Amino acid sequence: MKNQDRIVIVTVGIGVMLLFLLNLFIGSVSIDPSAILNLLTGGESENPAWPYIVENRLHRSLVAIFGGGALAVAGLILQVFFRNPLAGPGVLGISSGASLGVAIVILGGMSFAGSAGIIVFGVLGAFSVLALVLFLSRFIKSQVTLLVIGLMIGYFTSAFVNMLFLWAGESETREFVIWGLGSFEGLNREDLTLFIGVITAALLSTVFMIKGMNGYALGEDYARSMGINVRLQRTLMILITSVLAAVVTVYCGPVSFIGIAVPQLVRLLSKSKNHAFIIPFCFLGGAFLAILSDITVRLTTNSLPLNTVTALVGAPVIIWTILKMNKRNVEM
Amino acid sequence: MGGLASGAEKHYKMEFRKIIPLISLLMFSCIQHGQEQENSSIQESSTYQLQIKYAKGFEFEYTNDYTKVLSRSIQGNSFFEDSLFILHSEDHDLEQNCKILPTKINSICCQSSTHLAFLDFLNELDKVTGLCGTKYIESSPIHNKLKDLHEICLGEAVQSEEILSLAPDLYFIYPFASEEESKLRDQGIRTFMIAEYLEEHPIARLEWIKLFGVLTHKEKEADDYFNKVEGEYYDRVQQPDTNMKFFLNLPYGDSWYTPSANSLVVKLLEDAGLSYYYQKETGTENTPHTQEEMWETGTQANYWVIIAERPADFTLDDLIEENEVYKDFRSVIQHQVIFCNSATSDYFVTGVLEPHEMLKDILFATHKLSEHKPKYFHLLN
Repeated sequence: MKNQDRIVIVTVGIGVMLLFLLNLFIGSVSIDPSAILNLLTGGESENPAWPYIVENRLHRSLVAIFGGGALAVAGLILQVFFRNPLAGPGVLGISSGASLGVAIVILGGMSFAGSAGIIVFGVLGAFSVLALVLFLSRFIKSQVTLLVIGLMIGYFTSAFVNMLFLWAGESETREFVIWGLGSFEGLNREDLTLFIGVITAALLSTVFMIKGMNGYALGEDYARSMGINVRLQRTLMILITSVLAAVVTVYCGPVSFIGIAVPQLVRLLSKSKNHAFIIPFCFLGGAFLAILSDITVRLTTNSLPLNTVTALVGAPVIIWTILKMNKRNVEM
Repeated sequence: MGGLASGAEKHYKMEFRKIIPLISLLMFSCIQHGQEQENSSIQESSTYQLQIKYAKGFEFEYTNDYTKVLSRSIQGNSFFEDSLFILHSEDHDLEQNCKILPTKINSICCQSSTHLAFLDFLNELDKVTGLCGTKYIESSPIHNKLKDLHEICLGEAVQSEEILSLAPDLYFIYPFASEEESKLRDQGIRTFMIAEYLEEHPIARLEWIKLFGVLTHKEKEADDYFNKVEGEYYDRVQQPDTNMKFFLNLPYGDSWYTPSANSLVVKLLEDAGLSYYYQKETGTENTPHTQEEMWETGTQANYWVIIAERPADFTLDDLIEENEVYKDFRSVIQHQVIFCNSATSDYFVTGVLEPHEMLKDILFATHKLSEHKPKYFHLLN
């Protein structure tokens, strides 16, 4: 690892820590920092609402860190897999697949399945769409065409979601609309444990993919020449991406742009090609952007939905990437 | 060149041939609209002239030649105005584009189920042929009284073809669909804006029954009912007690929207002697608050009033299960959560006609009335 990379990753890490603390200490209810620290260390509070408020701030900060980090890593894996800087859970229809799974449970009269049902269907939806994109990728050479196919699959699944939406009852549609706005808020202790547990497991699994990803970034043939089991590598990449994207989509709604924008920003800050460095850097970058977005949402009394904030940051990065790609093509 | 010219000429001739049927269609379409306007006719002058006491959103203007029914925005809302004329004489000076009510109304379409409540009371429900959001009234007792009811909306957007095929004599719409209104009007549909929900008191809202009474020529029934409910309501009104604070609603996503202090439900609760926690929020819109703020409010307010759709057997424990923080709310600890289940009660439909019953419900829940069978609001146990 170069010295510059070391400085950059430590700076982003410190930034995440500072934003995490800021998210704990600011809010529409003013609580003395000593009272917050007292509550965090298991102390009691003079106001019965404060323990819940502090716990809520802590939970949403953790969800933002792990959710944002997971989306960024999922985006990175997809960009390596498709060798396309515009690939991401949102663009390739994976988030839409997860949305369809969630919609089937919430809007399709399967609410009896509960949150477990939502998770299972969300993961199945994401996995199915990614599998379909992969299948079609065998017949398509152009990366741009594949992205367009991904977008079309996204529209296709969205059409099903729209149909379910029109047929569903008022309370179900309300629930789905709220979910669709995206939020890092609202996870209780049990859900948070599951959320962090699944993401941590998926992220730890990427350790076994580092060598493969380094090879894969240079092409499938190159990876093969390095002695990498390409089939196993592909399976792992699909599985981990689906799980990461689906878990975040299920719990936080379809959070857009973080998955595509963060790997781009990481490449801007570091020239490293080693995924042993890029993966944790992406995680921290995603966490940074997500928690910053959450603070922005909270500063606007929650009147700006999370997806609006992430779009404000993410969309310019993507436009910049497209312009950069275009310039490269012209130069070639 | 000549060849090219003759080719172009041929092309234009062919295009023109295609255009002729289109022009004919347009002309025919204009003729149809003209005929629609001619359906209006003269009606006997009503001897029953209604006075408006509380409502600000409509008025009547009685002349020898016609009765003008005017609906309009209330101060602070986006401006709108709409009028409908009931003719009593052919000798009138009304402009040609005025909306004139036909002698007999055979079919009505409504954009809101609230309109149905007024029509139901006046026994005019059999004339309703179309409604926006039929699925939302499936559980309402009113639904059984409606025969051959058509859905006229997709989501919230009106389906022009459906409305045109039903060709109602009158279509009650909300004013926020003003663009839709002018489009439908151009297509020959007689629309009329109803904005009873903008009134600032439940009795003012109820007074809209007089408007429906005039339009259906049942002025006396409407007036008698209004006077009866008004009397019953004001007999029981209490002064707000500043020690009995209440707040409203449940969170919507990350936010908690509290109604304006001028809203109908706040006025109702204040008339039952409760005092609103957000009395200073006097705008026309709901105010978003963070959950944090509302959790703090919850630990302080004596009463929590919830109007929501929940299972029939919904209990206080079920509410706490929705969020653990609720168990530390003062109203929950003191068993003072007043609940209206919109899934099992007809709050959004018949509730408009029964503010006196709702007031009694609240008084009973706050122990100011000893005997009463709650219809809309009850204490959550």
